[in-house]
Amino acid sequence: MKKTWSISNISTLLIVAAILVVVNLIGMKLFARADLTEQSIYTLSDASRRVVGDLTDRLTVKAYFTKDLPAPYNANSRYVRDILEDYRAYGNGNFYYEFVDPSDEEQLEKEAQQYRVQPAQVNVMEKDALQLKRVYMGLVLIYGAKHETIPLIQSVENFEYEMTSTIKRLVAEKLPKVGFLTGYGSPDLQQDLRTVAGGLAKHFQVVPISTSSGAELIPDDVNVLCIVQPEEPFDDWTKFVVDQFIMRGGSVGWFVNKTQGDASSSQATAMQLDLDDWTRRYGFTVANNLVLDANGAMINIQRQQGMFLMTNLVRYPAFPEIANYNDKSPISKGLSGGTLFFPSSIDTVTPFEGSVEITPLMNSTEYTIVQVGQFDIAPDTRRDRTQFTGGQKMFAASLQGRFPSYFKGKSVPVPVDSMAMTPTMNILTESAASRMVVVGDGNFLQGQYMQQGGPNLVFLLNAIDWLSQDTDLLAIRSRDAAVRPLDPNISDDTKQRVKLANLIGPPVLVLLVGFVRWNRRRNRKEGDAMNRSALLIGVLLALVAVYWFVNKSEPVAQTNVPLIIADSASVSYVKIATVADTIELRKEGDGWKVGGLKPYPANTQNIGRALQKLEEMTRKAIVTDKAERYSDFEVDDAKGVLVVVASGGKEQSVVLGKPSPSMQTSYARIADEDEVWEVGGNPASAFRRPKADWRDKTLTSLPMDSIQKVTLTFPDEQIVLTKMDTSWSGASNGKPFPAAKSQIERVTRMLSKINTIEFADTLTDATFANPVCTVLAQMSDGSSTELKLVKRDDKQYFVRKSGALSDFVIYNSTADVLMKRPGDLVDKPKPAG
Amino acid sequence: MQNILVIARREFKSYFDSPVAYIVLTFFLIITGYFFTSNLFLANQADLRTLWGVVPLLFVFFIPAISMKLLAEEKKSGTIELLYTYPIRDSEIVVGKYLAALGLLGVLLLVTLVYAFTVGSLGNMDTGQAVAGYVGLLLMAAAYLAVGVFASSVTDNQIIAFIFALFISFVLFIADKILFFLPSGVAGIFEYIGIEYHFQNVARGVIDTRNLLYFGSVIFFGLLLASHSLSRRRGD
Repeated sequence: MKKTWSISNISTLLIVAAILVVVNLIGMKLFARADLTEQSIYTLSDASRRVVGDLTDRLTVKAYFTKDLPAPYNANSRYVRDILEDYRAYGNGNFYYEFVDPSDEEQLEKEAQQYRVQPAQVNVMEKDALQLKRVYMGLVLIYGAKHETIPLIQSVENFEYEMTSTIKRLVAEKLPKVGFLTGYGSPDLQQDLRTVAGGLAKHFQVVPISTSSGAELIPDDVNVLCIVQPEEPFDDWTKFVVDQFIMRGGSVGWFVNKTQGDASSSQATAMQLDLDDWTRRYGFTVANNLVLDANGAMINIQRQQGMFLMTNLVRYPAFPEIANYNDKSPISKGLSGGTLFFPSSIDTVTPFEGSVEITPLMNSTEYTIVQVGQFDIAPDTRRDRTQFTGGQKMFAASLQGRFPSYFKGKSVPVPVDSMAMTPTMNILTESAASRMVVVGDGNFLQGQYMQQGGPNLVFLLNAIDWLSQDTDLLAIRSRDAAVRPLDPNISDDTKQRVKLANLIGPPVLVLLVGFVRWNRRRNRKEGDAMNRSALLIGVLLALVAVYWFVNKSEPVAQTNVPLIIADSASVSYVKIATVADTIELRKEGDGWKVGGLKPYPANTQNIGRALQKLEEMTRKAIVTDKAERYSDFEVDDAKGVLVVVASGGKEQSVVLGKPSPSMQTSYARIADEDEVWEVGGNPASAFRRPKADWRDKTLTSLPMDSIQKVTLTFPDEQIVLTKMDTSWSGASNGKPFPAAKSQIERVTRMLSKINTIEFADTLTDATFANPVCTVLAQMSDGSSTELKLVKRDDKQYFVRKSGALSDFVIYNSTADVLMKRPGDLVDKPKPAG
Repeated sequence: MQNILVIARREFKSYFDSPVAYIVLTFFLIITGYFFTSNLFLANQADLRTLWGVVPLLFVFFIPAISMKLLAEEKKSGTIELLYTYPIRDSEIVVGKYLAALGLLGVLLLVTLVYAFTVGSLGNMDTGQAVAGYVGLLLMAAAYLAVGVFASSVTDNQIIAFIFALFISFVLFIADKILFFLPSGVAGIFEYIGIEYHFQNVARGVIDTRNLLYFGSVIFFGLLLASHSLSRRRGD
């Protein structure tokens, strides 16, 4: 008898199906999860549990979510629900949440908007048509009389971070403290830093921190310490107090200039702050320089012209306008148009100990002049853009991680306050997770320079926000962003072998098992030839397929390796060819020579910098291999810069093209290869220099202490300055006069290192027939240097140096220091200030 | 229980005595190997995401190929009548055969552990996540297979069984990928039906009772349907 689907059969099945559906529906409400990921990414973090567990009063979350959101937002809503449920579970009965759909009722919609939960527009399918629908995906947290809103939850990636940080903010009774270090010539909090203190007061309690009395450390409730423009060297005790503050997890904002500038008198002086050894330990130094940027802010200057006082608007390079903010950092994201005032650049050095991550925040343009020791900040100095050859400099950076202590292995220093006892304590040698922000300028925080609501203030507030952030919260954020890259040191060979093994290994394994089994069977039961040949055909097909895939998978061009291998130390010859010019640089002994008829000494610094940029040029991606597109990237003969470098008998040629739109990378091509690469950095700008820039502009470089005798010959007077042991004597036309050592040392200091502005190659001997002054410096080893000075115009002098291949041009200010008369060389009272 | 294991062992052995299993496994591994290796150093991530991405679709084609003969062939050759003469329940036949095929898929997944060890040795892989991923793969395979066994039970033609299983599997595979075209009222239902939604949830490293319940329901209902459809033919 044939049995068919009976009524009872079908009804049984339907009932079972219905039971399954209901069980699944119940399961959606009653569930449990086990998070197997190593960092428990999908589980509420300890920090969040602690925060929500510490609630002492009722916290209500109202989540305004439209029902039936289209994918992928529906997944978000479920994730939010799961996370809120977790919060509730750890909330000790003080955490409540409810989901409401504001599209149900106008009343609710109004309520949502009162809490600033704004609707978003998404595409949904409704009544067979694609429609824009207003949906709500936000929530509000209500705690007592306070409430905070998360208006739109579009991605769940840092939802937990946002929730926990919001709860923390709601619950916090006291504002976090920001301290400003006083003393050491730092500006006054009430006066010069008034605008800044006012801006911070909304979110922080601003307190002065003094290290000069007692032997107390910085209190633990201070989150951030700001060190603003000190002018005097730090003592060890203060360094110690700050160091241990960092070691205990405190954050520090450094706003430090190394050069003190005064715009009204156009004077700048280098400051000795004795900071470098200390801060190098943490990963940075503020360089002892003043950076001028061609992209200076516009300022008014007044000038006497005849009878009139003229006011001109000029670009002032000592006030660089910041063109390059790092858009990836939360501190500098979206900023533009800030200005720094007499900034110094930041050098970073990743410390060997600890683990410090350094992120640039502000960079100068490519066109800078770096002044060290000698400063020319006169607003009316005219400079051509081509004179700004310093390259890009870093003005601000953030550092975070575990910093090593400067006092590791040292003893506790004596407090400044002589009444206080040196405390006995354990020196912490490595910090907890700490943060720093370094800016090579402290002027921008102060009175006249700080504008309400301007980008400088926003930058500062962002920086303090970032600095004050809880390390708890950072752990959540970094957990969200954990990436797990493969070991970077895998060689290409290994990669190929790994690929082949994974491609062929598993199938061959299976076939091998099959073959063994078939052999055994064959022995048992002879003559199963047909099946065996079927297996062999299978093997054949599989191997053919493997061959096809292996053959097809081309080797991928390797990235993040240098485009060319040029160890800058071993390069002995460089040729730079553009359509306009060809420049050859040769290494001779320790120095470099610029090729041509006369081998002039070359500017080693510029060459070193250019070669280093070449060395650092890493392959990012191939952009094209078609010759007709070369001109688009300026790697063709017409616009590219051909650079040939020779090291150890090996020559490499590369054509450098234009920078990419991001300015962080550029295009380049190895001369005899087809591929145009996008490469890290923009070395072309370092090579695209006029010939004169490759020459050494140093006029003298003498050890100052070895200068024994200086003879200044004017047409009407000869002054001889002679060194006896450590003192100096002076004679004018043979008559002694009381020369002051300090004044003479200004002359010898200048003589020891003179930098020129440009070359004067076409002058004849006649020009120097009647010099304004001849300066002869005689050294202790018997050598001597003679300089003949002739006026060029009212700003500059021509100089001829004995034995030099060409003549130079120097500023009046330089010449004036050299050409001293007896009246200048006697002791004078120091001018005030 | 004894009966189930006897059937399962016999069926499992028979897989390895015919060339079909080897050819299916080999091709499966060539395809996964190709995707895995070509993406490994490009993505440069120490995870098995490539594998989780490609296997759900591969299963749609390969699992029906493994399951198609399970009941259909026995019915066609008439050997099922022989089984009926033993004191064995229909459900025992179904579950036994199902376990045999699941064993074969287990072997397949064991071989793919080669990829996991490769990634683990080249970088800092999240082991917990990888374990969850394999649990997810096994659950997904088990669900697809239950569908395949059901398809094999309704016909005595292997090709029809294959196409029927492929069709249902594909519906399960595609359900959560077409939400955009659906009215919002039913989108939630389709997403829940979609097998990859549940698999990816597990593969990210979270074992959730909701996903286990889904897989369990599909497996249970598929096998239930299969044994009902087998009992319908008893005495045929």
